Amino acid sequence: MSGTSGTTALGFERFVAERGRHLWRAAWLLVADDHHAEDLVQIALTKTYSRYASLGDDRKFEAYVRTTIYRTFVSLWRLKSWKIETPRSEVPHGSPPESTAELRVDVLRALSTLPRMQRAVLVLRFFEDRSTAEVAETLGIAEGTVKGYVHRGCATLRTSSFLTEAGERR
Amino acid sequence: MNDQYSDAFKSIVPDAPSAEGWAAGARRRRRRRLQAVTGSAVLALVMAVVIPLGLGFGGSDQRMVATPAPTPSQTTEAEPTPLEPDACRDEDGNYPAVTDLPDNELPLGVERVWLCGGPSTGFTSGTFVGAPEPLTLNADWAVAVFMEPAPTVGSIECEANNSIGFTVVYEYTGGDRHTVRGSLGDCDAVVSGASYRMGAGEYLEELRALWDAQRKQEDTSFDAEIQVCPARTSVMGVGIGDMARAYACGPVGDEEPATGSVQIPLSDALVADMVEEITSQDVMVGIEPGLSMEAPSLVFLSPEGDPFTIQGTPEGYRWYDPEPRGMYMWTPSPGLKARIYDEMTRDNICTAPPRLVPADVQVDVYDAGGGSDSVALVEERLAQAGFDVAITGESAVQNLGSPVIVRGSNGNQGVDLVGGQFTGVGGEMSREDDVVDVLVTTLFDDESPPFAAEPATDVPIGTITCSAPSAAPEPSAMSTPSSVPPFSQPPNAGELSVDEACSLDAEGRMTTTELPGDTLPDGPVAVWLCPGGGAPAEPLVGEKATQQVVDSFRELPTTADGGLRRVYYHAYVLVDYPGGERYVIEVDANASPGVRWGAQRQRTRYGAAQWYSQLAELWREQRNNTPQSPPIAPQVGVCDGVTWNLGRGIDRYDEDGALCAGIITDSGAQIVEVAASPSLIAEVRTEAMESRTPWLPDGEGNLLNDWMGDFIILVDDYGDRLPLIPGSDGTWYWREGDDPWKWTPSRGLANKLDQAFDAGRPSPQPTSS
Repeated sequence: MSGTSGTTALGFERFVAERGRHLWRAAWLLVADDHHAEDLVQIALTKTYSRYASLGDDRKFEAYVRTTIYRTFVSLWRLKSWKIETPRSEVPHGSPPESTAELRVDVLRALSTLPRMQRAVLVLRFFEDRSTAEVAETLGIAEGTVKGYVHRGCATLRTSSFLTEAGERR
Repeated sequence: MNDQYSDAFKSIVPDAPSAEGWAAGARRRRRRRLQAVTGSAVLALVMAVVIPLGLGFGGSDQRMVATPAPTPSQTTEAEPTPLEPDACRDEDGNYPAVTDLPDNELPLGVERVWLCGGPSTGFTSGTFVGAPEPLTLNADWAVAVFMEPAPTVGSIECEANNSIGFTVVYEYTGGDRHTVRGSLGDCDAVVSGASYRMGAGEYLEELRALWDAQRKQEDTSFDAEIQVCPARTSVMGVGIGDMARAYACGPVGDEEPATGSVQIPLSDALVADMVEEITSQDVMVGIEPGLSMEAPSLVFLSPEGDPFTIQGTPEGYRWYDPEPRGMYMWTPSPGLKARIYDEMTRDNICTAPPRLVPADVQVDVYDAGGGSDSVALVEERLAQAGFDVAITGESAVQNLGSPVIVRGSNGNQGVDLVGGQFTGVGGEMSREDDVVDVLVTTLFDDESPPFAAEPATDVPIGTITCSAPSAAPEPSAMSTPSSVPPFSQPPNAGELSVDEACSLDAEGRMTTTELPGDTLPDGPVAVWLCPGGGAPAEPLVGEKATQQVVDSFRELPTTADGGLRRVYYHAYVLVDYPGGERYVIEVDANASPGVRWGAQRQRTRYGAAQWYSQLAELWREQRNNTPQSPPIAPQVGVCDGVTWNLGRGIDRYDEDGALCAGIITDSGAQIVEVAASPSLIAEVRTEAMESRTPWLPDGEGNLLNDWMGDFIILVDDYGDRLPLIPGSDGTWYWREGDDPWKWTPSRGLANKLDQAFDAGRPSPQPTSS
């Protein structure tokens, strides 16, 4: 990435075009809503844009944006506009197979019962496939805490009526 | 199971929408945020230049800088912070009480978080403290980590033995606070009002992580001479290996535990060697409550100001560490023990009783067969003394309380046994020395030893005793004056030597001096006041005024005061005497204690703010009584950087003035003088004098948030400048000494000022793309 503002702008455009949608997908699992997910990504990009040139490469910048997404989610969880949607039974958008749509609703309902930090930890571990150390660094918590959240979060999901009923239906 | 979740998550996430427009949107929002932020950022920079000491606009802690308008790349010097912030104690000196939380939850909008110590039981590591600085970076995260565990309504019952407490104060915009209390150890709970949450250890660990992140990002450093004795330990989880500084705390008095302590800074070299020795050992001795605490303790400080105390006992230094849980003991090597002793006793505040050393004594050679004069030598004692026990074999000498001389292979060195405890003599005995023979003295009366007494350099830790500094000792021999040239006679009007007197080093500091008998002698001839930026052009002279400086210094309290808090300054007081002696004292309202002197600024008093006010009053009186005609020109340009203000009434600033416009560009703030007639300046002064009203900064909020850099300067006959700052409501603000004032110009005068500023303010340079 170049230091001139014009080149920086182009590089940033390219980064967002290439990686923005992936960041959106992670954000979607956190907030369970298309528009909220876009808002979350936009907030993170606004916060981090000024660091694009100085960080030196897209991989580092993406890690920085990801950290900002998760930390923004955890810290702003109670704002009214950020209230995590409880999924409706109908399919939000796209045209996934009916079984996938039902699974989506069930998983999102189960996730909605988790505290925000646990939810963030599970999404980082199981959707983004981050290691315990990477999760700890992203969220700014100890590795032991990450393990504790994974354990408690999985235990909650295991016993979630949304998922057990889903299993029974299948 | 985890793969199942991974598959489920990945399968349910829908396709993302197009990212078109996201990048442009982020850049657009970023520009809007920058425009809102720039004004306040520049405000802070320019206020640091313009605001005189004591004005306290907007609660700024910026110290005066002796340079013209700064650019954004300039940094201000780190402000010293108290070890335990005010938020961590209520007005009675207790930890703040736990508050009720609405619905057992912390509200949004937290501005800063304070981590404090809390009530602790079972351990004697002194007072527990938290972080000296508040958490402001990601403060809302501290809310999230508190809220993570679900609350349980009710009170928790558990054994609180051996618990370490900590307190967390959440401070909100507007000043509201919510306080919770955690307890580590047996309870492991965080209490808040009518509920509690488990996992205090985890909560504290996450708070520590937040502070660590902030410290890394903001390069936090702690730079102040502060009171840490008798014992402070941080809940920040620091260890000996993190430490950068240390103080020895000498107990005062004969009571046990001691009722007071003196604080003696230890040299960097000694601290480094102690840390090295302690961290290279691995001794855990188990919980041993109740060890005698009358020996001096050592308080270490990390670079961020987190303290760690090790308690002195006659046998060594001990401390409790919860991670891993246990009691530790360090017995310093003889060399380090001698150095600790040397540094503790260098100023004769702490001393050790003299040890009797045999100079020339006739002794009997020890007879393995024993005899009536034989003295027991216990193997452990010999090992402590550093001898090779194997040489003595199984020899045992009954201890009769008399000195026993054990001569090593290097000749005249020996160890004397007094009261059943060995002490090394001369510091040259070592484990490599072989005991070649044991000499036993004849019994003697302790009050008439047959040999000369010499002070020992290696003594048990517990035998060091200290005395409190006397409040008003008699003056004795003068100590070495500073290197600043002595002042011989008062200057005449117009002959200025302030630059010579107030010469500061590159860091804005001056070397303080010892004071004879820890006080200022009577009869000075002149006193200089040297702040960090600018100074009164003249010294204080006259028998009465200069003696008042001495008297007021002698009355400074030795305990913390709760006085003035809104005076922010850092200055030096130079006191000159007829013989050419000069004594230098530092006065710093940001530190506590804030009055310091001594070669290493180790002597202290409180009351810096009050003393400064008293000094300023003396200067005002002198100036009022000796008007300057012709007036003294300002030391720098009228709109330039430093504005020193002794707090004279606005009516005294009647010699000159200027309008100074602030220009904000991408490269920073620039201040320029705009054209203004003397009559306009006079009209401002007259109207302000006649129409001013008292201003209550705390009660009326910060009306200067939108200040963009303009100010009016009024100049007195000594060249000092009084700035008037405009608020967002069109009112102008200034301070005369401790009294803040405000004035709203008449419409006509306001229009004239606006026209003058607009006509004279240059256009900002175009922004580079």
